[in-house]
Amino acid sequence: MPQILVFSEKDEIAAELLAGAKALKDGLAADISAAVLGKDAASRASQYFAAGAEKVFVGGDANLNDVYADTYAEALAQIANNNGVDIILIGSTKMGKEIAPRLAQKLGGLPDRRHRAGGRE
Amino acid sequence: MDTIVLMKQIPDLAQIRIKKETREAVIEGVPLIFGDMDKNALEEAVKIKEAANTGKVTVLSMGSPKLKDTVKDALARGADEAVILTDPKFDRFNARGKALILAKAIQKIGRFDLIFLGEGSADNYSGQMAARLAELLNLPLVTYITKLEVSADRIKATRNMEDSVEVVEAPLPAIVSVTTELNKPRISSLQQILKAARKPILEWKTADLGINPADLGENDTRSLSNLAPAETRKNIILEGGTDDNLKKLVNALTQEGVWGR
Repeated sequence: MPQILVFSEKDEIAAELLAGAKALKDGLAADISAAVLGKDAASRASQYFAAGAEKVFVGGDANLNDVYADTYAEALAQIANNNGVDIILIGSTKMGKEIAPRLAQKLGGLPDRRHRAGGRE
Repeated sequence: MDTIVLMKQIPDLAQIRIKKETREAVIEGVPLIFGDMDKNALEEAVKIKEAANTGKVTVLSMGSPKLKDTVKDALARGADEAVILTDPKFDRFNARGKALILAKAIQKIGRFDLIFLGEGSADNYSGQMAARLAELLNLPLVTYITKLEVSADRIKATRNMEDSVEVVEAPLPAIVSVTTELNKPRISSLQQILKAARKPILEWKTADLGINPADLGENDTRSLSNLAPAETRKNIILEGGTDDNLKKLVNALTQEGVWGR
């Protein structure tokens, strides 16, 4: 079962990505998960289930309180590596456009993981 | 304060023609230039050098052999030297591979305090390189800058995010990506254009960079289609007097359901 992981630092954009992932889900027979990072991550997680995530990875480490692309990319890389993620959808906000290539550069080291960093505007 | 400015050679977008029947872009024969944001990046690097009255600006660019010509524009705008990577082998690598190649070139250039890039290239606008290089070179990165202050060991920059404006500080060496708001690129004088002809252009290939192509990923991303948007204009022209036309216009727009949505 391919694993799709969805992330945006903006919850409303993550919800859009989850809707998009649902469209991919049937065609790929994939599982959909989402990552929620930063302050109040745990309390924000519940709305992600409502938006379509089957699993939510919560990263509430204090290092994630400020939204920095390098720490966020590192957190997402760990989530992806530890959970067999195959496809990653990242919201195309300015922050997302900095996180996605960092993440891609980090993950590229594993030849058996295909990843696509992109997303809706 | 030594700086490296990454610039990308692209077809002059203003001169690209679209084939009406197929919506394909015609790129053959279109002159190659550097995009606007690349020019903003270069302008900032040159301004910093001029303000400090010391330091070197090196332009780094990967592309076709035509770069040898294109890069003269950058030299005329104040760069001191150019390093061009024109080995055709470079072209078949994906963004990850290209980032690795550029990182090697940066390491070979050696000393630098700041690396400048435009926010994205004017053709592809994927804007990946700055972040990939920050990962590879383990450097702080500040993106989307609209204002920049440089001191001996740090920078202070203003960034335009969607919902906010951030002011950040970072230690040097660092990478920055710039927006068109940052500055106004100069127009080169004839004297600078002539001087440019004597500035060094270094051409490096895979062997010069100590790269084993087998270590780089092949281009696994395929572009399936790249077409101009379909024209959906109705091209209806109303002839006659203004009063008449106003009524017709209102009727037409009502029919289209433009009001009361």
